[in-house]
Amino acid sequence: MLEFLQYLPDVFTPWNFLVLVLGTVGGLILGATPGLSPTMAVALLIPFTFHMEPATGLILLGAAYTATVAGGAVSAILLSIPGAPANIATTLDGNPLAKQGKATAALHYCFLASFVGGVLGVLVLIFFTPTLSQWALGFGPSHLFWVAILGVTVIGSLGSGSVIKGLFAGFVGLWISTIGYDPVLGVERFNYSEHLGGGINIIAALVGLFAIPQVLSMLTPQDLPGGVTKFAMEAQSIATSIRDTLVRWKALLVGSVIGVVVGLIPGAGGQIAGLVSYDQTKKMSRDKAKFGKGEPAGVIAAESANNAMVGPSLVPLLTLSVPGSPTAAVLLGGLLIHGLFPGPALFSDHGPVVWTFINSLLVGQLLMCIFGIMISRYSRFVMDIPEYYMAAAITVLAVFGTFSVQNSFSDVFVMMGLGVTMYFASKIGFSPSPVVLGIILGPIAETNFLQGQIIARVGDGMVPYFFGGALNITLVTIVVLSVVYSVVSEMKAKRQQRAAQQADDDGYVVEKEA
Amino acid sequence: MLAKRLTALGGLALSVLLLSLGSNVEYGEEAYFFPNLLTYFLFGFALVLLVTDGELLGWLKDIADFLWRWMFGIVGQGNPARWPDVVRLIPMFIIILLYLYFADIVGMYATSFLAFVLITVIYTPLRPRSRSVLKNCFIGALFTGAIYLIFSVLLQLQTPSAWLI
Amino acid sequence: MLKKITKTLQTSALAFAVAGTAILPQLAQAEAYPDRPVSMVVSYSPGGATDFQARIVTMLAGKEDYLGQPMVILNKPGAGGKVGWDFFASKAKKNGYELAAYNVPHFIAQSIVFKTKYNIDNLEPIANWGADPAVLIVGKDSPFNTLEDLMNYAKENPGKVTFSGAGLYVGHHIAYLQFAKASGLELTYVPHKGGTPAMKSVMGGQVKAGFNNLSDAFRNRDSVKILAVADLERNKEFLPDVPTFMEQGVDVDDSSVNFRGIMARKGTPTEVVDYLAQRVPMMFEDKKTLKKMDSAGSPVRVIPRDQVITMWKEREAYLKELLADLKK
Repeated sequence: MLEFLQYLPDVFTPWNFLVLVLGTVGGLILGATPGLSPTMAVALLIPFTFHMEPATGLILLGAAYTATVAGGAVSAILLSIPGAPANIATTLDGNPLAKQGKATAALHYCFLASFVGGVLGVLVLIFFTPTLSQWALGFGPSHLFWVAILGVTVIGSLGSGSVIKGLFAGFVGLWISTIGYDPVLGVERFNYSEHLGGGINIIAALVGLFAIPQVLSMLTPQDLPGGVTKFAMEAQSIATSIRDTLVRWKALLVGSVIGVVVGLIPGAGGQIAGLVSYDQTKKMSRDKAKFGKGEPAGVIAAESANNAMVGPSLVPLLTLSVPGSPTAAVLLGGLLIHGLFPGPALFSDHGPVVWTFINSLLVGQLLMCIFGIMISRYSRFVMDIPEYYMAAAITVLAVFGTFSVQNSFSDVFVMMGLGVTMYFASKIGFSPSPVVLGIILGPIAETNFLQGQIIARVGDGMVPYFFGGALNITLVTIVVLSVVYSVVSEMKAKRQQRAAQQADDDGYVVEKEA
Repeated sequence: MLAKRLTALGGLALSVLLLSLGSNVEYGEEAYFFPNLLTYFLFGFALVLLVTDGELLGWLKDIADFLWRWMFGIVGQGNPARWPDVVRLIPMFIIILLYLYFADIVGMYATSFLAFVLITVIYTPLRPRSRSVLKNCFIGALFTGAIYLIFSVLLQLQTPSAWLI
Repeated sequence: MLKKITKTLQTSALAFAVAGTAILPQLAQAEAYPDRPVSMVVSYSPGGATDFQARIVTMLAGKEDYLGQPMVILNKPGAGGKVGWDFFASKAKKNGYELAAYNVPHFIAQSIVFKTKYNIDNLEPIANWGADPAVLIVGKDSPFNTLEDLMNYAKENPGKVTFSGAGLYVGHHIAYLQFAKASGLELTYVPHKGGTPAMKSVMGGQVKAGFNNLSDAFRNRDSVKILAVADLERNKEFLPDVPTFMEQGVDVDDSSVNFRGIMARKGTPTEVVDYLAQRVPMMFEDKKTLKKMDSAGSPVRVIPRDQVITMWKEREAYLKELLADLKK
């Protein structure tokens, strides 16, 4: 168990440590670039590791994975454009914080929470890998279907003031995910243009839906001249940030635990970890009204979850060669190129390499936190850039980021199309987060339902298959509780709101403010 | 409440459109079960949105006004003397179309540079002067250079072969 | 930057030169080939089996004995490979500087079932580098220890044996179809989104059996039992003890074997194709490449161009027949 300590010094050889530092700093910068998701950063770096020593190559990939996940929060907070799907939940409270002039504080919370979640995740990887990998294998189509449905129940509470609008946007997202070729059904759906043949790429959708509306509203500032209301940055000492973070230990705990659990489930897509834990933290909090308006606990829950997912997503990968997240799937290729075959024998055959890699993840979390906090100090320069320069830069970055995902201009067209549509939709109170979540969850829900259907038909039948067994019952209970809770609290809030706002009947202005 | 009603109607129209897209298919009908199920949900949500506001009459005259406000108008407070949003964005939309059209013909970096300069020159709140245009060009070149370093050098992205880079 | 510009100028000059091949003597151009890096479209995502094998087999392209120019991988994933191949067959230049990796039987089956822009007639094989047969696997704790056990159970419980595989009209599915046809049993196929999830379903016991790649099954041999290989002979390198279907009396041949290789567009100058067809197999057989392929657990089978042409034709004829039954 404590074998890992034996290989800790290997991380600190000059060459390995240099690669780790470069990977971390580079990863933070790449992660902060809209469109460069962790999955892509790792995929694009694999050819580099080709000529490196296996351990060094893996350190680079691991550092990039850790740092890009955290780096994605930088643009989520400063620009309300998540760097990756995992950072969507961070925008909900991180950007309002930044708008109140607390961008530095928000970034501090984010990196501190990432550090705590990340370390917990790696510790789970170190100590519980053999036990948990068997547990992870037990997730079949019926369970994954319920996990996806749990994600759908989160949709309504995201972003836009109205639940029904959130659900509508979420289901539009689910529908968008059905475009393109489906390997389970072997059919091409809604393939009206060759640009849609490959389906809607999730990163293209993410960039378009978040970045383009931002660009367009930057170019149409409310008051001319002068532009978008600038928010001044307040200085925040690290000690205060640490205290603020630790005070919200509940959010930290909920976020980390949910991140670990979601990361372990192969095929659930770690991207929903942040959103689910954000939703749970909000539900458990005493003042829910603060969420979405700059509540530090929201940032902490989301960011601790998405970094806590990193370690556990490697648990099923290393022992069973079953990746726990899309990024882990790409990492599998990186392992194979170096002749490291994931499986029970991996730790005995290639112990030094694997332990050095895992240790580097642990050290990487610390480096990520330190460099992240250093970078946050300079984020004011990003905020000082005139918005027309910002708009131009984001447009170009969005195009490059989207193109580089699969070398495809079709993706760029899709990105722009979705983005411009989203701009007009955002003016009537829709927000992009539910749409993106829908696009993520759609394939998980549909594929697993169809597979479950085929298996159930020749097996025990639909009801026993989807509702039988401890795991199914637990998941269904969580889904039902989640829905009931949302409905009850929504009705309570409505009643209070109605009492308070009898006078103001103009829904339009209300939604605009929400 | 008008905005809500129109949104709801728009939602209904969208779900009907999506359903019709999913109904007339050449082959693989069973594959459309899931998307069509989703559109029924969309229809339901739009219906809820429509029904939840009390008065269904006396709002037709507001439609034109709302559409105008949505597309062109200034939502909330603002300076009524300035150009409507959509009009202000027309140059941007044209830039986007030209950018995407020429990116793989002329070259991604060259068009990106031009798009960057055009956006900054057109949307500067100050009157563009030759000196400020020069400054924009310089910053644009710097930015494109940085993009080149990140994508082509660091990440080895293969841009499509075109006239220029 | 400047270097890139001059390079681009050279490139465009060359493009004009290529456009003018009708006038210029073809010999001059063939002698010059290749004078700049050659790109290769891979229709699957980076990190996937096809991608990393393609990277390994092309890593020595820059050596003077082979191409003297590096080969650059261009990933265009989507729709089970269709996006990349559609792009290649319609947009790639026919000058030998733009090549692609093929996966048989995937692209042939797709060209039969779907409206695609590619088929074996508008593509030109260069050489084959690898062959990954489909194998029949069951979970570690499965009651089936031999193919016979499984077939007996299936006979008594028609339709109850579920098989996982990486999607429809791919090697695994074709192996399944052949097996179902040859054994006359009623079985159930559960398509997955890729080979890894299909393997996971077998390991986790969500399906009773599955068809998967030999290389992946070999790597996971501690978690699964391998019952049969869908090839003409046993795999001596990795699984010498696992019998083929034929040996066990089930008529499943090598039609589902996943062949990987390099191809060009039809219309590429003959000199260029001949040059590549001569040099590329040498590159595949370099000791360094073979060693790296072996350590990555990827079975190599180098097949020269003329044999690949016949192989493609045989596959197409057979798949047309097999899939015709299915469509009805």
